[in-house]
Amino acid sequence: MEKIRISMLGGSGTGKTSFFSGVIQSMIVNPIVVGNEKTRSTIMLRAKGVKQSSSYFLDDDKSDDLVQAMSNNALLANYLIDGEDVGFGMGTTDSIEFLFDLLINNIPCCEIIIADYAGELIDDPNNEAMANNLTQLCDNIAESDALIIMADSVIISKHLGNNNLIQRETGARIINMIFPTIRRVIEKRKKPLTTLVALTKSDSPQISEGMTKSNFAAISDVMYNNIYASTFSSMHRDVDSWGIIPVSAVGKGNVDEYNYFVANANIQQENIDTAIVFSIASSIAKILSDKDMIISQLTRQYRRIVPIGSRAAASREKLAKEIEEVKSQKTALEDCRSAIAQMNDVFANKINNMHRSNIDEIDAVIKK
Amino acid sequence: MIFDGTNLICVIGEKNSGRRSLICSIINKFAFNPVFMDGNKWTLSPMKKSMEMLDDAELIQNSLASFDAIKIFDIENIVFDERENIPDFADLALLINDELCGRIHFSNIRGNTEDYENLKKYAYSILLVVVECSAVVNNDSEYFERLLLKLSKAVDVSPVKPRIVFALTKADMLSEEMRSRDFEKFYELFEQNAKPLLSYCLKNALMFERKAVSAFNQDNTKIFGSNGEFLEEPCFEPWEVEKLLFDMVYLAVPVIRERLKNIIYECNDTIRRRRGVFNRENIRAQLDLRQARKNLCIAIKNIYPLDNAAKYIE
Repeated sequence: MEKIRISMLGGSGTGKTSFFSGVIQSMIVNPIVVGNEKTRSTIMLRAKGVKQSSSYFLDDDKSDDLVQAMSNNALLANYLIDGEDVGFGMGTTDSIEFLFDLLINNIPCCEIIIADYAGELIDDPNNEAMANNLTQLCDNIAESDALIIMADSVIISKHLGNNNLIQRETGARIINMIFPTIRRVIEKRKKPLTTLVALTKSDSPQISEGMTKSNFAAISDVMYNNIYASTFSSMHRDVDSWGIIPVSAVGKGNVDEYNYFVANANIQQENIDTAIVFSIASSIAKILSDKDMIISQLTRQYRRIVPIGSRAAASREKLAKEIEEVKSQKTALEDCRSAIAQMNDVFANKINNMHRSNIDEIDAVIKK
Repeated sequence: MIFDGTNLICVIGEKNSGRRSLICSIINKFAFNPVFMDGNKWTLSPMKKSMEMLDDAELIQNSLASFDAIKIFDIENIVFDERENIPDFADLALLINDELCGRIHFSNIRGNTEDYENLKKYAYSILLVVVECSAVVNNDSEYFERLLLKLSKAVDVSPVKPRIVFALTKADMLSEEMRSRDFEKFYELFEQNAKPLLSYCLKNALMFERKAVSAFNQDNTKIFGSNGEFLEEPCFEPWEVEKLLFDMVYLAVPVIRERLKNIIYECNDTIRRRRGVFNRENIRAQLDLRQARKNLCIAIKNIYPLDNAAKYIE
């Protein structure tokens, strides 16, 4: 099955682990339902495994435990238990990769890897603790199809107007510096890149009403034109997709100004599922076009073989099987693409400063 | 003389004239944010070693590692009394639209003999003379005398004819009247009061440029409190420093290209003269030949980024 890798980047405390916890809550516990009665599809993730440091725990108890921990403790740790060691949920000290199957109408269509990197990678990449894993981490980043850059919206709203300070506090400086290199590396692999800046903690009561107006338009504009201007200007307009999205792992009105849950909190993740679906949209389109190319190549090979003799017949049979296999993979991905295409309006409403590649192709699917 | 196609910028000025702040503000402005000029994106990044042999992970790793090299020039270090830790040298790559267009090498001259030795060795193409705006307004003739002494010494030891850029620092302290109409009045005053410096340049046919800048912010109330101390969270937005760097690069690129071209002609000439059959047993000729070939390689390698720069500049 095809793999799509999403890497989360951001300094310590920007909310990467909470975001990931929100992914589990919103895409494993509650699937996304798109379309009307006739075109109804569901998009959801199924946990498959966890890779911590260098060992993969596939389909065993440990991965279940970890996913379980993510779905509960991470939120609690970040919002309730201040300073007390509750283990995994306290934040990521090591880099962790979570492996999922992406299910469209309960049929797996591709694998999604979501990588949660320790905040030190951005805070202090050259410290000794990072030295052992840095090469491996950089290698993983180089293979990304999507980057979700975490930006703490509380810090941004607090210091709005002081761009230098925001860049320092959110880790934007280092991301701006390394992004052109990441883009160049991914370009060598001829892959499109989706980059989303996620404004985390958008539920916080510390953010004024004015800032949250029009889907955080004021903050998004500053992020686009100033804080991450360098990153956005390094993207490739013809193939890349990008945008800025306010996200919350708990939903508005559920925590007080000290980040404690209010009584009768009704936890609702906001926009986290949208961010994940947007992150994979371009990659699905690219994989599909690659599959088309493979099918046409195999078909050409098939036609070139003159069907005389048993060896030729065997070769043709083998090629025919391969073509069928690729076609079946393509069918699953096409379902996925048409489900994603139905989220176009959602993207337009929730993602600011958005740019989409392959938009015509996706629109054509809707029209069909 | 060492030549490597660098836009070498030598910074000279009096103590507390804001040399370090100025270098830091230029680096902050261009390293952490893109600066657009005629639609082209200009950035500065730490100079990396040859990256041709690096794999993808190493490229990203290198990029992460280079952050430390630039972090030391964070303008915040000026505030937190860590200015002594800020190095006197900064070696940076100039990228225009992510394409290598040369190296920018800042060197802060403190006035030691050793510093002047470096000046001699590296053939700086730009002498950045830092002049405090207040000295211009107060017509401090002694200040200009001292500065002239430094400038003339630097020009004397330099093996090439450098171009001079006057950075008129702390422009945020100037009155509204002085700032109005793009510093028109202030520049008039500068031409009048800094006559010894300008006359020296004219006398020695040194091309010069001047620019009023502020390394911190156009509005100094965002930096300093009423008691003159730094605010707890100062808002740094260097003012006009980007134009200063543009000016310096515009002035430097033709000088360095011309110099490299001359070096290439000289090396070719040496190679042509020394490689004859009669010189085959002559050790000196062989050494000359080897050195000329080595220099030729360096010069050719360095003319490429400058040619890239010329696309955007000329």
